[in-house]
Amino acid sequence: MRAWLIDEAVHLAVDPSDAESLMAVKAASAWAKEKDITLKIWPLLRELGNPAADVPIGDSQMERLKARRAKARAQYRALEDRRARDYVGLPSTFGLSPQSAKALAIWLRDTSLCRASMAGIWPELSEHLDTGSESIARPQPAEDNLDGAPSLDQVSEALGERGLYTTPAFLVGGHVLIGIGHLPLIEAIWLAKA
Amino acid sequence: MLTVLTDFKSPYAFVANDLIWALESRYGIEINWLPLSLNIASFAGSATKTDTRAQGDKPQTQGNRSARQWAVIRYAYMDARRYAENQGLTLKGPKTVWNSDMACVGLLWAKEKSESRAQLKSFMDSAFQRFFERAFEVDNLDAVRALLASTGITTSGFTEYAQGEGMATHLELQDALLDQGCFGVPTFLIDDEIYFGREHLARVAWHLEGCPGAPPIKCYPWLPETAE
Repeated sequence: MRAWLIDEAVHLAVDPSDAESLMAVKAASAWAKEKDITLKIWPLLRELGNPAADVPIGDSQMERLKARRAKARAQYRALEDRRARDYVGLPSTFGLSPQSAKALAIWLRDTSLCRASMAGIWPELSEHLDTGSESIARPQPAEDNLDGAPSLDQVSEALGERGLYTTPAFLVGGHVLIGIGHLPLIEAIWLAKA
Repeated sequence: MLTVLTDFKSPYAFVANDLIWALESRYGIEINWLPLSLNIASFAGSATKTDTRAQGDKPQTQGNRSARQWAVIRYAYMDARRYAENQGLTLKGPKTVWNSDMACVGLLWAKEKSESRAQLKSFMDSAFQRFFERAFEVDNLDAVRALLASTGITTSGFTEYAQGEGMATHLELQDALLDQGCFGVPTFLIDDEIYFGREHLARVAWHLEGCPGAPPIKCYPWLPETAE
């Protein structure tokens, strides 16, 4: 058990460059504030990828089906991305450069390490999104010494060891829950632990 | 008009079934149920588990799934099982990758021949529950006919339908749905929008209410524990 993956919190793993992840941050941080739940938000920068790509090459009929399904899935993902951007209030042109995404990932890691909870963090984070630049300020450490902070790779590796392989995903009381829709179940798990 | 795409072999469609049916009574509507038969091998590989414990051996699994495909499949069943248990449902993982085209034809038949919405619901409930109890072979014409009969739906002419017009209609429908951008279940079609996954139920209800205010966020319904 990593010391920063404490049991007494709901952990949310996100990819800062992904609108669905940002939607999860906005919704979960408001939810945690309302319910008085300790929330930690961590960057997960290594995704599982597309498992469908592992299907062995089949006959021409199967390959046509795979191609059509992949196209339909990609179109739907674009639709969901638009819905997520609408929820978060991001323009259709929104996109973080790799440098900005990394800076935001570091900001999330450091803020989670420094603060007792990320509940209600959205307004602060969205200001950084508005800049969309590499100049996201590192938070001033309260008591913690960030010199000993895990690297982004170490954070992703630790989350992966706990079963979080995609984003957004939650970890609470040893339970892995993938997707933003699980907040009612997470609340039930949290209350059962209390 | 609300159209819902479903497949009796999908654990996610199973745990959504009752929740979706509840929309009928809540909003006084008739859902247009359509079958979407998932070709699981085309996106998640294939696997078959052979239980040889009677001979004292460990169960053997054969197939072509990669490690990350297994990770996704194992999570999907773990996730669906906790929501099934929340609804008092039994969900046993299938031991092979099924082709559910025949059961889907059964749904088309049941839609046409049911004498009431309750009868159609009874067929669908039974199909899901028995499949996930490993007591219903979704690829078997006799099993589908028996299930129709057990829910009081006429089976006169079903064999001919299933082997001819019904199967042809079903396969044409699969092509049309994929062209429309539908690839998974449950999928909801309403007001020219497509929603894939039961986490959109609240948003579907929002459409049925006339889209008042901001749309609700995704949410998997969780029934509160009842005191015993």
